[in-house]
Amino acid sequence: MELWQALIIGLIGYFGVNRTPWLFGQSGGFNGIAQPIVACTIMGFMFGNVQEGIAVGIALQAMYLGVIQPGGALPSDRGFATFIGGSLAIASGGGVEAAIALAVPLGLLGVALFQFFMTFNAYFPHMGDRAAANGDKNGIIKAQYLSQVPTFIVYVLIYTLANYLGVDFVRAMLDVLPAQIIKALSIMGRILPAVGFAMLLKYIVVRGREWMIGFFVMGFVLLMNTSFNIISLTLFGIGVSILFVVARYGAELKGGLVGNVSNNGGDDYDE
Amino acid sequence: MTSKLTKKDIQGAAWTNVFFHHCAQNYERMMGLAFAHTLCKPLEKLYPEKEDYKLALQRHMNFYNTEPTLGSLIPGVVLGLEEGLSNKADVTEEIVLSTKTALMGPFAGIGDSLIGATYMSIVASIAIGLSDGGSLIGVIFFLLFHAGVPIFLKYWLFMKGYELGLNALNLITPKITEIVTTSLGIIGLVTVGGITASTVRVPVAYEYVSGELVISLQNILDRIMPGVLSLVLTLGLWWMYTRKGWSAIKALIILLVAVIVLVYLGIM
Repeated sequence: MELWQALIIGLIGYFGVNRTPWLFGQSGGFNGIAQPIVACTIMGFMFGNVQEGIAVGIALQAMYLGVIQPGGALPSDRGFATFIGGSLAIASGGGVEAAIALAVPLGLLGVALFQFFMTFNAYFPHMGDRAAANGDKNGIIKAQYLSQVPTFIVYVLIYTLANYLGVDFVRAMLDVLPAQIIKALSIMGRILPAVGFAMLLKYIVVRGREWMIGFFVMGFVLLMNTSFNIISLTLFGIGVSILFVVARYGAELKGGLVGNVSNNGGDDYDE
Repeated sequence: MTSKLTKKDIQGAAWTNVFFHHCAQNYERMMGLAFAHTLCKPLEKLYPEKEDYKLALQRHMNFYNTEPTLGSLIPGVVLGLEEGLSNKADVTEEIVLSTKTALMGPFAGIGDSLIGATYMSIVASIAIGLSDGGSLIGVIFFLLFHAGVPIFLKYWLFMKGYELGLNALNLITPKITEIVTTSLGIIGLVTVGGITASTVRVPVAYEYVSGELVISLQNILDRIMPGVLSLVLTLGLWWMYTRKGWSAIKALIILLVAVIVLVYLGIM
């Protein structure tokens, strides 16, 4: 692969980091041009093999179907899988199998880098704190912009180098990794989202109303032990919520609150 | 009462939110710095007194995290409430902050289930189907609906949120806040429970071997209840956050070390 091609992959890959703001934020980059089906098609054009690009793109896209990014953490990093695994497979003509074989271990390494930045970036809000204490809005904006610099350098460097050095180099690097590290990374990918979920619970379950945690347990048990999917569960949750509100506040609501609420559009929240 | 903010100010903030809501995301404040960034320009207009402005900026530097698409309503609502606060309407700083924190959790749960797990997956599945065989139509469809529609939604919900915040000014009583928070909180908790169940996995590899006898710990755990360890882990972390003051970073590091040790020992 030519250096300029590797560099373009590095740049698109940077747009695929979920923090990159420049392309309508997360929507245009992370959820847009950097998703496998789009990015691999672009790379297919670049390497003169659009069909191969689309084929690899939909294979990787299917791999990540239904994977959401709760509390920031993905079980496997789409970026590494796409911009190292996918790009090398398209460039070398290795096809879908080569892409998927590389995508799995690379996705795990990508999670490790993601977790590193989620920790390292805690520096920037402190910069923002100082600006806020001085009433300096430009300082806050500066902290946001500056936070992109390390992300930009590290991701562009990794993607460009990996693509430039080629598929044999990447395979050799992956082979050097002990099997136990790969295993630990894959387990962490599934355990670490709990860090974000528990933080959400902290902010939904208010102090003094700890019993509400029962609703969390209910949702967990229903999805795990029945054939409920997430939409049926959401509808079920709406039903439970209505029942609860009517039972708990029904008498008070009859006292006139209801008329007030429904006339002013404020009831968009209810249910 | 004429607004101190022009339509342009609100639109500007709505776009800042679209572009920057995840910039600098981190485990300590998540989207907190971005929240202050989104509101910093309109707040300057609302609070001409420098001291008031400092306080306003500082209260929006706190921890903030939600699902960004549906959650774009929240900074809009908060801006509407801030305008009431700056006009000395019946709004207190507490109402602004408690509305913000009360909404972000439920919107995260509901948004992850409706947008992340449902809408995005359906769009991706259709796109894969359309492009199977090498057509570009699926790719274009994907860009329009996976990227385009959420961009529009984020902008529109912010603008709606602002109106809602302004209209709710005379309406918000502690009772209403409690009812709204509780009902949204229940839906949020049920969906977060479901998403946790489908995402978090705590595998156990340990087997007790004695001659012919092999007892797999995972089997025993599954017989207690499928997913029991993921549930215990998430509830345990929640307990540590609320009762022991753990930070997310502390939890992350402890889990990292624990997993490495357990894998090394062959238990995981």
